[in-house]
Amino acid sequence: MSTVAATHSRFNTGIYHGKLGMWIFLASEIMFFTGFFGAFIVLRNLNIEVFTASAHQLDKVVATINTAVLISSSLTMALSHLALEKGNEAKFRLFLTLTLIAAFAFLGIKSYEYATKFSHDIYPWTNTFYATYFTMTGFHALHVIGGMIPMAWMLGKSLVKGYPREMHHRVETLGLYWHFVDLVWIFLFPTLYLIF
Amino acid sequence: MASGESFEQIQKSYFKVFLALMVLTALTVAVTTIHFGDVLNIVVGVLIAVAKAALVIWIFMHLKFDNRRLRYFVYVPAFFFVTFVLALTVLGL
Repeated sequence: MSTVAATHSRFNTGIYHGKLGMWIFLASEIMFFTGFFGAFIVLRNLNIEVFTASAHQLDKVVATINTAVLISSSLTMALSHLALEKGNEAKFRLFLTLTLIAAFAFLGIKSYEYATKFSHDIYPWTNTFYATYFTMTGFHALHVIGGMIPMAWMLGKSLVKGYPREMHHRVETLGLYWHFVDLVWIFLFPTLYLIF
Repeated sequence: MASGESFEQIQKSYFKVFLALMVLTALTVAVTTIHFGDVLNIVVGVLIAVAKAALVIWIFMHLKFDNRRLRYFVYVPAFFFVTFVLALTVLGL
């Protein structure tokens, strides 16, 4: 009967447990990234010249495109959950695939940015700006990869066995995580690329 | 979803939020060409980011439609985030 237990969500806290767990996790994730932003502010104030000069070397155009890609992936993720909640599995798969493609595109563009920096002999140990830049964007990219794994798993399950409508809560929970990854980028983008 | 809104209404609000996020992204890039002064440029950038974040949390992350008590999962860490960032900035560390 384990399948029955897994597909029926429990609501005795007012929301289903998966969602509550994800929000607790996300609250801790906010703290995790807050540490990085704190380090960024302290290091910036100590090395304003280095930070300004280095930040001007970043490619704003590419980063803006990447922001648009990630925002689009948030839309398709939300639509994917909505489609499954409505019971339209084909549409759910379509939007989930689009989300995965956008996630790959984001990582591809990010890799291009990293590669360009490496080819100009810029590495995380070049200066404190790049140390924080690579740490923050690197951890963000790891979060993107972390979201792509369950996405691929859900897509695979849907293609092989079908994804039951009753389990749309799981897609919503994954969506919460995915939108959070988008949210972190919304703060990283102006902090690293724009404010200098 | 626990709210009384129909799927069509929710879908519409998703597209509206998407459009708003795109416009705000363009805006945040556009304002960097204007120099309000070092501090003000940061303030404008942060304000636009906060507006974008609020849209994502409110609509994409369903906080508008969910149990109201869930909102504390945003308010509490956000409060600490803002306090921490402001403290570091004001102290000039």
